Parts: sequence; structure tokens; C-alpha cells
Amino acid sequence: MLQDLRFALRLLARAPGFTALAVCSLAAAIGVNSGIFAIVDAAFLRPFIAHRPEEVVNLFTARQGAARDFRQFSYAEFGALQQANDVFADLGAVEYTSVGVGLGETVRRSITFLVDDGYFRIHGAMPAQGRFFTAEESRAGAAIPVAVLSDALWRRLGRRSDIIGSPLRLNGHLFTVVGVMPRTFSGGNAVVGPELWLPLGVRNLVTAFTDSRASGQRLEDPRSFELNLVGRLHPGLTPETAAAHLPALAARLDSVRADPAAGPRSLLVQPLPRFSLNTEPSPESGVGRFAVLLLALAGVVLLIACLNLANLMLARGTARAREFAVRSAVGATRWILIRQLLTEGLVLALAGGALGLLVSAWANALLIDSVAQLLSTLHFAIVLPLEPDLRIVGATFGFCTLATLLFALVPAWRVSKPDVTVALKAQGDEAHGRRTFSGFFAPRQLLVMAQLALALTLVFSAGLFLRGALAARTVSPGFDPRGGLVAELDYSLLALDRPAMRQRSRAALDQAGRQPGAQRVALATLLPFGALNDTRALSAVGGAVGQDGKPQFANGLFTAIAGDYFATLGVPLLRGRGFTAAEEDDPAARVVILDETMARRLFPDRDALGEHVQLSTPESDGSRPELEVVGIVAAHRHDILAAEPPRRLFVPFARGFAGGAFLHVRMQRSDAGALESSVPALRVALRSADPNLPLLALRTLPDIVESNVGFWVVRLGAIFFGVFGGIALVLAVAGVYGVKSYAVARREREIGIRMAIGARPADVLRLFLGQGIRQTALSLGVGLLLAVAVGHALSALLYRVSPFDPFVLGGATALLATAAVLAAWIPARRATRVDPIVALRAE
Amino acid sequence: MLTLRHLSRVYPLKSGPYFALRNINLEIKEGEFVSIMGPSGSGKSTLLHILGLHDSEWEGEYQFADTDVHRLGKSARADLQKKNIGFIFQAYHLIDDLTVAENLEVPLSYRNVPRKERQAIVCDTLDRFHIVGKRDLFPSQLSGGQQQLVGVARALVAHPTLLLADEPTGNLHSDQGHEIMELFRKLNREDGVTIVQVTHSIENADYGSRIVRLADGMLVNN
Repeated sequence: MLQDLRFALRLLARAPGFTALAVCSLAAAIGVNSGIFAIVDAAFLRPFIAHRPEEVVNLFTARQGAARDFRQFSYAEFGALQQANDVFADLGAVEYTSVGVGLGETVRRSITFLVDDGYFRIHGAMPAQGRFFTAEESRAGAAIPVAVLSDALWRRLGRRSDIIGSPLRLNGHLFTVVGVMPRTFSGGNAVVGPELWLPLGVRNLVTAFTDSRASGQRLEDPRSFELNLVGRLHPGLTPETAAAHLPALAARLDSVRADPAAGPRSLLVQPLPRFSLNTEPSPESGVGRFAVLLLALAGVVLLIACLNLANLMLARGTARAREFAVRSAVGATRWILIRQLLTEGLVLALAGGALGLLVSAWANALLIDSVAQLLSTLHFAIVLPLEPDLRIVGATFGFCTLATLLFALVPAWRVSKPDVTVALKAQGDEAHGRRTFSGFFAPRQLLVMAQLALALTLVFSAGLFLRGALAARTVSPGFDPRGGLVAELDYSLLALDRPAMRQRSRAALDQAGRQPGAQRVALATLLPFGALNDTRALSAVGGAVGQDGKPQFANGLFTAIAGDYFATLGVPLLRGRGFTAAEEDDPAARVVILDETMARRLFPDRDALGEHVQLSTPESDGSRPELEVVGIVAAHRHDILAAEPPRRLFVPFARGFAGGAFLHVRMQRSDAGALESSVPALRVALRSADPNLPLLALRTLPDIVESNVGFWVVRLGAIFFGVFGGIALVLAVAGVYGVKSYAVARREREIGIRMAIGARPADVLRLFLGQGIRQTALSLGVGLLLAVAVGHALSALLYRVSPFDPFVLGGATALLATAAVLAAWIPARRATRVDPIVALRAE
Repeated sequence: MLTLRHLSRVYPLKSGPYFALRNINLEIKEGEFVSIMGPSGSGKSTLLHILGLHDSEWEGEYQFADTDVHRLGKSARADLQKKNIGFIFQAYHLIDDLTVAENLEVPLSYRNVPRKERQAIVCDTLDRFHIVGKRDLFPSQLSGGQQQLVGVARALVAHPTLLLADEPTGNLHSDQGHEIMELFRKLNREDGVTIVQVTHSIENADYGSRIVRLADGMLVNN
């Protein structure tokens, strides 16, 4: 065996061209598989809860008898459910919020989980440094300012070793850091986590000014339903078997019911989702399919590379027929020959695998950077562990072994059975006695045809995703981002009261309006194509009611606005008017503007203008005032992934403002250069007017639209499949070129004879190119059928492109056909330059 | 039929120009059977490949019938070759992947002979050379003599006026060699085919009407 290895190394070193080609092909293919496996393993397979993950579930509550009327829990409900019961061994609570970290110019918003002391225990987590929260710190109203940092935030703060016990300013208050979490702990899903954890006891401290919905409700308020519950089931229970015990547990909610008129509630448990933070149950079926598809297509890349290698091995085997004949003649058994060839294959595969592992680690680091950059704009931390570890190395070794078997076994089997007499007499050219038909379908030709067919499916897939990415660029947002600047402000970080925050934001608006080149300015609490959503339910006064006699609600994105908002954003006002300055400053103003889709939904049979609507959420005094519809605006998008723009409702700024606001400025000059250059000037102007301005970000609106998560997802799909398609194309073309070059080299004598007896260069070109064209046509025909099947499998993942898009199908076929014919043409052209005298004299 | 004047063939080597042929003046009349002899490296095969228009990198004048070959372009030379010249190799050089019949058909296909006509010609040729029974065999299934017989048949299938043979019996044992040489004599005498052969064998040279001797790329006796 050691001798086999030594001989294999010597042989491969003697053929550096072949070795480099083989190792690079394998590195690309194994690297892709290793990288994709790392992603799929981390995102889909690896448990993200350390201890008995199958016992950890999310708990949801819905009104009994109502199909989808879910809401979160109150603190009192959490307390009632936490008492000893026969479902949960442990129950924890979490509220999702965001806080401002730092002060002044350095302030930055971070997604934060407010959790109780049981939360970390349920997740089986241990801190990387320091400790978790105590029961006392978690108690509602405790207001003990302590914080646990994520690994990402700890790194951003300088990876200080003395971080425990150090102060941290959050929403203007000083907190003490008591712990740092391990890098891979997310506390909610497999991919992303918050940047910061705070105890539930500080909830009133950090959310008093940011919660526009509950108008400053406290955690203890029985009508404040903000807690998401996560529990660990008693050993032996599963989500299915636990369901039988839930009605008895749900009865406890009756005892703490805030509104006696509200009906009884039911409970539901669901395993933790891997990719989302849900406030109500939701399936994640589509993402598993995506993982399978990614692995399958990466497998196709590996298959193409192996076919390529198998071809090279067959060619080398043919050239080494005499060597094998000699070995057989001196007593080598067939197994010895196969072992020798498999050892050569394994050496190549391991070298390719090692290089591939490096490439995949590098590519995944790039991916993590890209995700981290995206998530930083969303204020999350990425926890996906993609660095190569034992699992990844093991999987890579598995790919190497699989590749070896795929590309080396069949050639080894074939060439290890030499006909000694024939091989020793052979003149080293192509096998004798082969007819045109069988030559056309010879193993090497079949392998290269299979490569072409498979490559077409991958190039086609890449084309579909690329077309999706292009289509995404042509989707009209429904507003005009050109010339737009957006400053993200968060006055809640300054611990001011609401009138003071409104006054300061107004001052910033006025300052922006005085900026040279500023055409229009506005304030809004929600940013189209931004990272955050704020949804409210709305019903038409006198509109339709459901079977339970209650009004039917329609959800829509909620934005409080001031200034010349619609004109600044470029959204047409279709009917009616905007808000007056007095309405904008009046927290009790009873007016609302709807977009056309919301208007149609609430008032399908009449014009909504002048009609009245009610929000589902009551005011702090419990009333639900009627709001008059004073304007209808055009629908506009919030992202590119949704099929249609969302429904929207707009209220005066004072009615919906809770501290966070986006200051919009439309500049006269909309070209990218001028717009970019006006960013620093606006920053300076705003800061000079208000040195303590809580400015979180200042960007151009085109940049915000471009970096939207939807564009990122579509682009990422195009990059992934583009890489697959690109590698497949290169490998397949290299395969065609290799086979044809080899054929020309081996058939030089025949070419010489043909030319000596009258063949002209065109005849020789036709001989070689004709076969290449026919083989390409046949393999692309088969590939088209495969591509259509793959298109069907991809259909759920495609963005605004048909899975059978004829343009992509035609383009991919034409691209591959051109590349393959070119790859066949180059050796064929070389064949026409064979000098018959030289070719025949070489005999 | 063939006239060479001051013909030279020089290979540029690193060590300086190498004269494979030097100032060759030679005339071969129609119907002649000429044998070119000389030691190895004397330029026999080089001269034969120039006559067969396989090589175009020579200097001097070459007249084929009434045509000045030295004035012809690549394409015209190829046409002249296809129309007039048949070539036989010492190592037979049949195409291994093709049957005997297909090997005979190849030169015709390069001369744009229609398929039906090609098949008829191939049948006639197989019959004439008494190899009808071998038509579907591959070269590797034939003996050396049989392969060379097919080689001769292939050279003649397009009815050339000039047959060039490069040591046609070099790989054959003496009986097979005599058989091929008898065939050459018959072709020359009965069909009027002009033949130029390269040979080391004085016995084979005696089948011809004239011997041309080369040494160090120069004509030493004509």
C-alpha cells in the first residue's frame, strides 16, 4: 500500500499538468460541496440548543374557537403558567426590542432580548464570561441595570478582557456588563441572534419611550401582551403528547384575564423554528427544500468534476495500457492494478479536498461577512458557525472518498483488464476496430456528453436566478428614491418626554429644510425598504363584521408622518389632502390617510375618502376613536420579495411618534455623486444645530433600497447558482476540450494518413468538429429535459421568472453549445495543421 | 511527366541549416518505373514526399506534366495531388478504425465522388485485388502482406497517373514482397501507371526501368 502511495505520488509529480488540472477541478467541486455542507449543517442540521433540544418548544396562545387570533402573553399570564405543572419542567419569557448602545455620535441601535432568569437555563447555555441574570434582576420593575453581551457586541467593543463589571450606556442609562455569551448562542434560532440581553426587570426602563403601540404600558400591566414564552417539556413529553395536557394549563389564564369580556384562550406548543423569531406559530417547510436543492446542485457539480476526472483517468489508462500489460505479464493481479489506480485517485481527491476546504472556508468567510454586514443594518448578530470543524473536515473527507469512487473506480476496472498481447503490440493510438457508432458512444465520449447535459441544468439554474436578480432591479418601488437622503434618528435614547422629543425632531426637520439644495423634507416613523415593520389592524366604521359580530380588520403598515412626506418620497396623492401642520402636532388628531390598497380593502364598494376607520389597538384610556380618511395615496412597496405592495395607513406624526423617526430630504440634484457628496454636509448641518442629535445613520435612499434584504436574498441566490453554473460550465468545456484534444493527439497518425491520401484541412476539420457538434447537440437535448425538471424543482424559489423561461433556456443552451463547439473546434483546428510527414515519420 | 530543376530542401536547425536535398535535377517520363536508392538519411523519402506534394517547403522548380508546381498555391497543389497521385507507405498506414472497404472509400470521399459511385468503385477494386472476402475486416485482422495489398488498392482506387511507394515491401517477408512487386510491374506495364518507389533492395529495384541513386541529399547517379 505504501509502495502504491509512493508510486502514485511519483507518477502525479511526473505529470504536473494533469495533476494540476485534476486537483483544481476537484478543489472547485469538493470546495463547493464542503462549503455548502457547512452552510446546510450549521443552518439546518446542527442542534442550536445544547441540551436535549427536542424538549424545548415555543408556547403560543389564541382565542378559543378563532383560527389565527394569536397574541403574546402578559407578565401575569407568564407567572400563572410558570407555576408547577405537568407540561413544562421550566418556562422562560422573552420580549424582542431594540436599544441604543452608546451616546452622542457613537450611539448605535442593537436588537435586544429582554429575558427572565430561566431563559438561558432552558436553552442549556453557559456564559463565555461572567454570569446570567438572577431571579431578582428578572422580576418586573426591579430596574437593576445589568446586561449580558453577545459575542459580536463584545468584539465590537474591543474584545476587552475586563469587560465584566464595566459600564455600558443603553438608552441613556448606565448598565453594568455581567456576562458575555458564546459566539454561537442565538437564543432563538440557528442563524441570527440579538446583540444584547437584558433582564425583564429593566423593561420599563428601556422601553418606556420606544413603545408607540402600548403608549408606555408597563410590564406588569395585565393588558400589556409583549412576552413570548419558551419552555422545556417534562422528560418523555413531545409537542404532540404535550398537547393533551395544554387545555388544563390554559385554564390558568382565566384567573388572570384582564378583560372579563374576552373569551377563554387555548395554548399551543411548537418546536423552535430555525430561521425566524415568531410571535405566532408558522411553518418553515420551504427552507428545508432549499437546503436539499443546494446540496443536490452542489452534488451535480461534484458529479461533473468526477466525470471529467474519470475521462482523464480513462485517457491516461489507455496511454498506460502497455505499463499495465507489463505489470500483468510479470504477475500483477487485477486487484493490485485497481488498488494502484484507486490510490492515485485518492491522492488526487485528498489534495483537491484539502485545497477545496481552504477555498470553501474562504468563501464562507466572505458569505459570513456579507451576512454580518446585512445584519448589522438590521441590528442583529450572526451566529452561524461556518468555520471548518471536525464535522466539516469529516464531510470533506467523505466527499473525497465519494469522488475517488466516482472518478477512479470505473476507469480502474476498465484499464486493469489489459489484453497483454494486444497492448504490447499496440502503437499507442486509439483502440482498434472501433466503428463510427460505437466510437460516438465510447465511454469517454459518453462521459463528456453527460457532463454537458448536467452542466446545462446548472447553467440554466444560474440563468434563472440571474434573471430573477435582474428582474428585481426593474421592480418599481412605487416611489422615487432618486435624490433622497434619509437620516435615522432615535430620540428615545436621550430619555426625553414625548413633547420634547417632538420639538427636537421638528427642529431637525426645519434645519434639514434650510440645507442648500434641499427641495422637500419630511419625518416618518417607518422607512420603505427599511429593516423594520410596524403593522396595525384597522377596521371600517360601519363596515363588514365577522361571524362573531366583531368588525373585520385589515392589517397594514403604520407610519406617522410630518412635513411634505408624500412629495418628498415621490408617492402620488391620488385624492384628498395631506395632514395640516396642526394635525401633525396634535397627538389626538382624528385623521388618517390610506393607500389605495387599504382603501379598497376596507371600502370595497365605495370611495374611502371621507369615511371613518378605527384602529384595533385602544388608546391608553381604553377608547378607540374614529379616524376620518382625509387622503388616498398610491400603493408603494416595502420590499421586493412580496408579490404586491403592502397595505398602508398614515397618521399625523404626533399620534404615532415614540422617539424613532426617519428624516427624509429630497435634494435638487439626484445624480449619485452629488447625492453622496451632500451626505457629510447634511450631517454637519444637523449636528451643528443639535450637538446631541441621536443620529443612528445617514444614507442615500437609493443605497437603502439597494441594500434591502430582498435584493440581498435575490443576489445571494444568483451568486450561489452562478458559482455552480460557472464551475459546471468551465468543467464541461474543459472536458470537451480535453477529450477532443486527446483524440486529436492520439489520432495524429490517422490524420497524417488521411492528409497523405488526399484529405484537405476542411475534411479533417469536418471529421473532428462534426462529431463534436453532433455530440453537443445530443447532450444538450438530454440536458434540456433535465433543465426543465430542475426548473420545476426550483419554481418555489424563483423570483419573478418562469421556471421554464424560454429566454434563459435558449440562452443557457446557446452559451453551452457555443462554448462546447469552440472547445471542440480548437483541437479540430489543430488537427488540420498536422504535418503528414511528421505524423507518419513518428511511427 | 515530372521534372525537377535545382530542387533543394533545407531544414533550419539550431546548429545551422541542414540540406536534406541539394540541387536535384531529375526527369521522369510518363510510364516509367523508377527506383530511388541510397543509404539511410540520403533524402530518398524526403524526395518522394516532395514528389507526392506532401511537402511544400522546398526551393527550386517542380513541373508535373504541364503544370509548374512551384507556382501553385496550397489549394491548387492539393487538387493536383488528389487528381494524379497515389501513395503507398512502408508501414501501410491504413486507418485502424475503418474496415478494408471503408479504407478504400476514404480517398474517393476526399475527391467528392458520389456515394453510389464510390461503392461501385470500391467493389471493383476489391475484386481486382482479390480481397472481396476481406472487405469487412479491420486492418488489425489482416496479415502484413494483406494490409499492404489494401494499401496499394487504396493508392490506386482513385486511378492516379503517378504511384509513389515508400519502401512498400520493407515490412513484408520475401514472398509477400515479390507479390507486391509483381503487382507493381503489372500496373506499370498493363495499365501504364508511372511508378516511383524508394527501396533498399536491388532485387526490387530490378522490377523497375531505371534506378536513381542519392547520397547526402545529392543525386549521384541517374
